[in-house]
Amino acid sequence: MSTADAKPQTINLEDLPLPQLHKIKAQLEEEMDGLTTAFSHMKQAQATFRECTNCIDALTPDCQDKTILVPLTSSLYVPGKLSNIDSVVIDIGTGYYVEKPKADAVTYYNSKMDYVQANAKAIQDTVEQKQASYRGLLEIMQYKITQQQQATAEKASASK
Amino acid sequence: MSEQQRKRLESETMALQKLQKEYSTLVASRQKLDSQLQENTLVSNEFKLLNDGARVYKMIGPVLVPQDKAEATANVDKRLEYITDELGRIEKRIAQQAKEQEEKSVEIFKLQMDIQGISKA
Repeated sequence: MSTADAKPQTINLEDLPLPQLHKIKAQLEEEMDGLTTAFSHMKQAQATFRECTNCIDALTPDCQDKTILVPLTSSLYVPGKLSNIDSVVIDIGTGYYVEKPKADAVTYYNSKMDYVQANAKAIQDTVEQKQASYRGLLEIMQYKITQQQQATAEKASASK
Repeated sequence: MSEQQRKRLESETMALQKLQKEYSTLVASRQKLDSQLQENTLVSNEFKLLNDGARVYKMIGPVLVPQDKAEATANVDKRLEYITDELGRIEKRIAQQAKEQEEKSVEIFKLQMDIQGISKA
């Protein structure tokens, strides 16, 4: 996703001092957090698109000329009549709307869902990668900490 | 540690903090532009799929106003162009800022070394 962390890094983690490892750990945590939020946004978007296709499916020919309530605000409704059940108007972003026949609208939402699905998959893969490196990092840190403790213990016993 | 050195370290640290702040605002605006670019690209792609007779509306305030498809396409393409330009400009500034930041941190590190060397002696 971000271009900043794409630079090639071949530094051996074991060579780094603990404070720096801590920094990397925090950075990794932050990245994983961000990616996880993005992932849940993707899932939400997908649910919205699915809801839209469901609504289109609900517009059967039986609905022709049926009375409906049109919301003017969230609490004020006026009665109306469904006169056109063949086409719908879709928000395609940045303030633009397009009128499409129902079948085309469903295709549109399906392609959107596929698009979001592909992105979500990519994010999931990245998160898994990050988690793997995170576990590796934790191991190295653990190792370093035990080593350091041993060193101080030896020092203490030597100075006795 | 001499008074002069301490003052200098302080001012350099402040300068670095200022740089970092500027950097994060730049990154934030890049992110915003990036998402705008994404959205506009999606809209532009959608326009390409439409046939010429398609009815396009633009939301102006709370109402949908019918618009010519060619006009809408041109509008979005122009926006895309502008956003890409803007992104390039910000990208350059981010690179420059990153360099400045690095130079500052090296400077501060050196200064700290100097101070420690003196306090040890």
